[in-house]
Amino acid sequence: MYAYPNCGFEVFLLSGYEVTEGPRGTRVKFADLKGLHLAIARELIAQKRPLRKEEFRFLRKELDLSQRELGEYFGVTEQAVSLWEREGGNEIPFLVDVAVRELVSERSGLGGVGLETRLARAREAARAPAPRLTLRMEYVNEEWARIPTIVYLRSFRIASSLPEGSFPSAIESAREFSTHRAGAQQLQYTVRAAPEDQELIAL
Amino acid sequence: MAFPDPFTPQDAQDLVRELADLSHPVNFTDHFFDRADLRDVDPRDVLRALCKGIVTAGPTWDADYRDWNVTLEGSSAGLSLRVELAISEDKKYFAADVKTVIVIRESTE
Repeated sequence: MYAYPNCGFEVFLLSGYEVTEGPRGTRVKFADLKGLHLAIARELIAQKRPLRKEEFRFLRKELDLSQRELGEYFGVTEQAVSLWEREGGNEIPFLVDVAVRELVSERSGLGGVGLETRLARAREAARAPAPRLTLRMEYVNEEWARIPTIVYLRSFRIASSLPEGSFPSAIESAREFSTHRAGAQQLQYTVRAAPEDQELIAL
Repeated sequence: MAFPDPFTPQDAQDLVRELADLSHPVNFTDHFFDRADLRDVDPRDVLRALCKGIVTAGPTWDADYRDWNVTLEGSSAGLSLRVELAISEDKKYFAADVKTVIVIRESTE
């Protein structure tokens, strides 16, 4: 599993990447990086809640627009866009949230649904909480796709292995995990737990 | 597969654009990720910059690493980026290692 960096939110790749040792140290390459970002954008657009600041920024970059250029779309200054990307949440106007999703959909070929439909969806989602997003992406048949979670999924890093017999049913898999950035090997457990175990797992 | 002789800046630019367009021949080094994190740049920004990038230095042969070093400048999402690459070859393919990235300025494009 590879923790894809610099998104502002968590994206884990289960495949579609290759880590090798080159003459200048560890390096990584990705299958279809443009497709990966498009798949992430598609997931962000589909979120049924307001965009978080880092997600809004990700979509702006997907549009290949500067803060000033995006501001021109909405008749606001570069500073206003900068504020949305720093503060997020309630600072991003409802219509801007809706319009950016639609813009990315149309311009990236994801299929725009039209402003009216987008507005209707957004109204339903406007008051939903905005938890920090974690995406697990897999590259299958030359396409990036999100791995859906069924019950509850939590990934965490632990310095040493869990005690023998602790939550055995909850541990789905344990993988050697390298951040590749710090170069430190860590053991990462992917845990799928029933709701009643969530608190225990979180501890 | 071999580099043209001489390997000119225009050759390097054309090759880098081709590799960036394919995406998978471009490797990102640990050092790049360290710099990118500080400068709030992601790999997509780099690929986008390389796809329309202009060679500003090199290519120069590095005898120690046996690859060509080249610097390109391009833009992504309002940022002008300077990207340092090492281009290498094996029997079948060319590949580019992204060594580092610098944000030059807010793009005026």
